[in-house]
Amino acid sequence: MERELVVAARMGDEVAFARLIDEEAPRTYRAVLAVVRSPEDAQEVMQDATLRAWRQLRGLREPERWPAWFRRIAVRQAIDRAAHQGRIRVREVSLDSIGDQGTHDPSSAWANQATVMTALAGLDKGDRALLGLRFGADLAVPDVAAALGIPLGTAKSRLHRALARLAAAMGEEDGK
Amino acid sequence: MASDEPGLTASQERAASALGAALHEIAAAEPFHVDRGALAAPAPRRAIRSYLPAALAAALAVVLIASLAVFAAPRLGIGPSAAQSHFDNGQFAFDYPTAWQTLGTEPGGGLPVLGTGSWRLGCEGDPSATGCGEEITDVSGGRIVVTMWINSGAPAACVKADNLGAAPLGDTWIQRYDETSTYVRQPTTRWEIRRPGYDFSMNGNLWIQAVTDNPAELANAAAMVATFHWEAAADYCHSPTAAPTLPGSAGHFDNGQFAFDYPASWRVLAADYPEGMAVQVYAVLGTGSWKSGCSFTDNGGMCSGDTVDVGGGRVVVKIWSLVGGPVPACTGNNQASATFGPNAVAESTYGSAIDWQIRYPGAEFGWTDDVDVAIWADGPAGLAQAQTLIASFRWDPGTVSGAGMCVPADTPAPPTVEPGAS
Repeated sequence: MERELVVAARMGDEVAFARLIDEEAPRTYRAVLAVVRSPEDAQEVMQDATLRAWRQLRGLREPERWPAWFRRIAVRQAIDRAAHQGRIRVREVSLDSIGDQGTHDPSSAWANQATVMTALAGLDKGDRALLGLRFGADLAVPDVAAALGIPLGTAKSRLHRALARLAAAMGEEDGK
Repeated sequence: MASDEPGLTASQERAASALGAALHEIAAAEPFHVDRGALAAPAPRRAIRSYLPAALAAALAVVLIASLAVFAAPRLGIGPSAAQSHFDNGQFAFDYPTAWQTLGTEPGGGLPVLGTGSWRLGCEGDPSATGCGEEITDVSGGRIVVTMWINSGAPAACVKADNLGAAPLGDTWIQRYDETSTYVRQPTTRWEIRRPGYDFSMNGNLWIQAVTDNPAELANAAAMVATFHWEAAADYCHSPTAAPTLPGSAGHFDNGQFAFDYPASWRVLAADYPEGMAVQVYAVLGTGSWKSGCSFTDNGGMCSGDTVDVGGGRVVVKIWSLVGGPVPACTGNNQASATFGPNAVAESTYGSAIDWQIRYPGAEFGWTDDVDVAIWADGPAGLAQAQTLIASFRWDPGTVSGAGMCVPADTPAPPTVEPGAS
């Protein structure tokens, strides 16, 4: 089905393309969010990546590669955006928006978000992309590797190291 | 998620779990929705979203009452009665309490950090910072730290100027936010001060942030904001000008990068303006009527398809390109759909417009800086005129070849950089 949508979108079918984006965008958005660390920037990156994908879709020779192809466009855009953020400010998280989600303890959720986003600031953009794809987009490691265009073994080792750096930045210690 | 990752330590498991939860929660609170209107437009554009959650906007209304009271009488009882220090950098000016010291300067813009507390930027290896650039602020004992910055980058497209409950102060429009910052983790009030001709949320506006838990110092900061004024106005709220003119001469466009001919009888409908951050429109010309597709609402703005009327055998041509963004991926997309004169083009059809793309020297189709010519035509005569225009298209001598400027499809992700770099 996805292949048919890609083929149709490549021929200029906007509805088919929108369906592809609807399917893929939520998880890619979470990965992008990890890289740029701001919902506003993540939304702009996703919008730009979507338009870029629409413009370049004719160049996608293998429809089966659509998800990895789109993720790579978005993550590259996010990395580029992060590199040009003049001064990164972690977005203020609205307590109201957290409460609306029915979280059992809004202050706890807020603290977790603040801790994670601050810790991500200490990681480089590549690490943030790896972690975002794995734990934000919930992709299996082979899919992470495909999205970044790196060998599976490299993805595994870099992911392990990035996670260790994130844990350290969050103050997590083994034995706690 | 983390639990099925082999070989993770307990701390890595916890970090992975917290990361996944945070990303899912934030994404759920502010989900991404694709701007489908942009897909239908011949020139892709970005949606501009409202940047305040509804709940926060409602809270602003309450905060605004207090703000207005301060703004109404900035010199009458609120703020310091002692002599004021004066800041003026040629761009803007304001007064602030003489008791405040200059604590440092913001990186990049060089704007001062003022106040009575302590402030510095942490860096790697700093036990009190998680990375270079994090602010280390101490306002204990009722002290205050005031920072200011201007977000750089291309200005966004315009949104309605007076949305979201802003307060006018002379010719300066100010929006105030009261929050507990997740960045400095202390009570924080921020003011966004609109540059004349700009709209809120646009790059180029000035932000002032006061960190303090002392109401008297917060009042001093509000009084400082009330004295603020811009010294130089520049209208960055780009929109097609009322009487546009094109570079070159009548019937001949030349902007120093490329040139083309067009019928001298055509009217110039718009000239050289950005649509969002991704598109630059060089010219809109023709015999038909045309109206920009950007519209504005109380909650932001949206750019979608242009409104074009070419009935009666008329024609409208829009010359535009994608600009900026990262180095594109190599696709090997050099397959032209048609050739007009010496120019091979890739043809697309979006809605009622035909779009012919001309490659930048050495580039592939689909890259930024390729030039697109979108045509709305009623009948073959208009199309023929547009084809003649493309046949006359020339890149000016000196235009740098873009050969080799793409990233091979199988190239690994960009190399990582030192921790702490952003």
